[in-house]
Amino acid sequence: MTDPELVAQIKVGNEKAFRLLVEQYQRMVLHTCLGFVQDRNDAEDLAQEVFIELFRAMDKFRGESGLSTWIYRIAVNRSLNFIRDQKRRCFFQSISTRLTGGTTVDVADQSWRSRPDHEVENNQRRANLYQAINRLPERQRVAFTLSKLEGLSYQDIAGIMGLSLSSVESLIHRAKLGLQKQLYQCYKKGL
Amino acid sequence: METRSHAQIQKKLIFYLDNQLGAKEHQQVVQHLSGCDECAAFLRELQSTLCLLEENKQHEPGAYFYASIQNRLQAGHRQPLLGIRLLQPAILVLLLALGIRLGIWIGTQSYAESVLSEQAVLVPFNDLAEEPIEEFLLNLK
Ligand SMILES: [Zn+2]
Repeated sequence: MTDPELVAQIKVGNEKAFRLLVEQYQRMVLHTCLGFVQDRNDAEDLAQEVFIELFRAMDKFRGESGLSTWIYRIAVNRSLNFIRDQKRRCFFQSISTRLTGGTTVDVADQSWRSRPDHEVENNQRRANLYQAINRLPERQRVAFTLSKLEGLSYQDIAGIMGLSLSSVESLIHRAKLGLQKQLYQCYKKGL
Repeated sequence: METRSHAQIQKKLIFYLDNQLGAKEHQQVVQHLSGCDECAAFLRELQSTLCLLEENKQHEPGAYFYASIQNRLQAGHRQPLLGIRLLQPAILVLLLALGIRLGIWIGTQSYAESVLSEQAVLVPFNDLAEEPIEEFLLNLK
């Protein structure tokens, strides 16, 4: 089934068509969410929400942009909202920690002690990388993250973000410069 | 080699890795790297770090991905779990603030009560003060 056929079938309530759509796009959506939200469970939760929103908003889809462009847009918006909520959550958590006089213990990953050296190194690199990406201005972050997804051209990114091709090129160029600068600082500190 | 030229090269390394430099700039970088261990070491580190982005592409959706979507759709108007989870810290802070307010209120109330009871204790003493002790003893008879 082609994308317009899938959409038409879902609009008339064909459950099998929706299942096909999920199967066709689930990896793409999950990978997009993972680009923004590094926790696998959160990303999968978000990816499911993307399809739920998609299903509920299907009547509004007119097909002016491609189906995949529309899906990417929903995935990016959901991910950005999640990040904003997470920042708010961190803010509240720091307040409640101060009020209760407790200390926050990062229990996310305590197993690194038993891992081989290269994995410990990669954990540090991963932490530096995502910290650097998270510090980028939002539009640079979106453009850069999308550019690292499989098979997305700058033209596709322009379509998803609703920007001109030159704006996308400029955003990605600045994102890379910013990342490189931050990673160099981390590298210098680690020496 | 000049520090300035290291900095000039290091600014181009991320574009060098993505093959986005023009032929002339590319050649400059290659030439510099062949004689500069410092920049070459940073290039290796940059490459090792950026290739971690590829990890995301290895993840596959869980086996119950579609089933979970169906369940959540059937749950209909129920609030998504994610939303509730995100609200938890806000609710905690709200409860804490309420707790503190309640604490202050209880504190103020017990202060008011203690002021009242002090007054209640003071009244008989005042009465005693007004009444000469001898007369009080006489009245007992
Ligand atoms: Zn150098």
